[in-house]
Amino acid sequence: MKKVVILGGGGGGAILANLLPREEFQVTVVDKSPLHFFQPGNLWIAFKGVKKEKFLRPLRELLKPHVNFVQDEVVEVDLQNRSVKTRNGKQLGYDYVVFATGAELDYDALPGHRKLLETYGDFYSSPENAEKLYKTLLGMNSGRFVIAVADPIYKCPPGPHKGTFLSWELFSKRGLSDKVKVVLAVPVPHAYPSKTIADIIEPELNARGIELHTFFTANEIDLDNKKIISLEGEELSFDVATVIPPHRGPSYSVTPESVKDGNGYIKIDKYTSKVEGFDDAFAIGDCTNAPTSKSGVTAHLQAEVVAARLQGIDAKYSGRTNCPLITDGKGLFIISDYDHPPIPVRFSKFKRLMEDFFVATYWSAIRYPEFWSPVFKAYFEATDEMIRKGEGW
Amino acid sequence: METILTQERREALEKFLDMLVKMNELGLLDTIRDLPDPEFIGRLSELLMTPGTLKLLDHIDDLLDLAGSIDVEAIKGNMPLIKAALEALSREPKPVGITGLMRAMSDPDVQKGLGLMVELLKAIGKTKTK
Repeated sequence: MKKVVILGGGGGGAILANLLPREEFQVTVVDKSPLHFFQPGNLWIAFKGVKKEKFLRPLRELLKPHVNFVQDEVVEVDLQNRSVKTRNGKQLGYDYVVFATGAELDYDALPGHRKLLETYGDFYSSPENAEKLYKTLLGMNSGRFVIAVADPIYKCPPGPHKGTFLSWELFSKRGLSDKVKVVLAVPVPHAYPSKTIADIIEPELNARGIELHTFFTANEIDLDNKKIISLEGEELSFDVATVIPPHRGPSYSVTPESVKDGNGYIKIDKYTSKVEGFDDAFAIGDCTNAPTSKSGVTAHLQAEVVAARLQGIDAKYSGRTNCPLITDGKGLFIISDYDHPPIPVRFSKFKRLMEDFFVATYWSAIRYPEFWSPVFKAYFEATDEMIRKGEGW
Repeated sequence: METILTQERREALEKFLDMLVKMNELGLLDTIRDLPDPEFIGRLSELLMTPGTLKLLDHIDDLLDLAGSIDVEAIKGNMPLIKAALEALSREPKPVGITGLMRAMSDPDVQKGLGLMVELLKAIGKTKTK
């Protein structure tokens, strides 16, 4: 029996734990929280008022009974001595370790950011703050609601855009589309890093009268004067604002330090998820330096790859993304991989339905990944073919 | 148990159990139990999820509207024509030059067909002049 210690029980860690055959592996998941949170739920909480409980489940229930769960915080990982230390003094040895602790959001990097978060809430940090943001938005009857981004690397690249469309929808439903201006400020040259996708999004933003600012990297928040100042020297006034913060890799100590890059992300082989320099250490999900979108899909696909590799199969992650961008009525998926930029996709009701279906099957997919594997496999193979042929969808 | 089983729930549970008994007699419970098989799900998924079906499904709302606007009666009424056209297309005809065309035009069937072609051309042309 090989001992596998998985750090983090989020989308990546929980799926991996449930995929590994119990006959071959003794699996332990370490997570500081007893609850597993479906992070995209923040959008529904912040912009549709859905209660956070819908997206929270005890991690113990999501892990198969044979998986060990240690509810504790990782404080040190020693890759050379194959040992993990926790806040409460536990020491876990392993044959394989998998980093799946996600990205850390830094609300202290930008002056004024933490105060902004405490005042209005947001839809990135926590379900509680998402509930706070919903309350804030409900109390907004006029003025400017600004969504800005502090750094180009953040989880869920279409997140700010979803927030934009869904908040517009919220104000529109309340009859306030003329009174409240929704503003989206992004640090890139177009509405979206990929021009192909930007060309599809921009008409939708224009049709709704949403104000778009490009080349705007949020750098400072002046809450007293209610403005956001960018690195580029521009200022955006707001009545309510939320800024997606800079993200970092895990802050707990990892030895050797060299496995972390300049932003703290764990350096991996982008195809195999192996930690650079080690045969018995892997990393999946938002905590890695993989040059693709930080998203649940990435974590899921990397979990499948690591599960296969631990069983001797030469599986590789292609860098595939499938980020949903929803505008309530319609949706699209951003489909790309390491070797191909996003393919042209259209907003459609069908894709929006697919997203609903995915959300509804999430808990099942975490608990029984082997059941949903063939479904996901068929979908990814079909859409991979579209990528290969350069077709749109 | 008493607090969980309210009168309404007891009734619903009894009906549900009766339904299960019926399904079991019909062998349906065995089917439902056996269907979620990874191979079956895999094959079904592969069938339903090809680039072709994904593209088709993406337009499902438009396609359904389109299908609803089709004059089904007209198609049914013209089935013999459609079948004949398809048959002719599969016959691999020899190329025909201007003299061959002139000769063909003396055939009454060809004359009727040409008349139809003219009506068709007129109808198409009309939509372009709008």
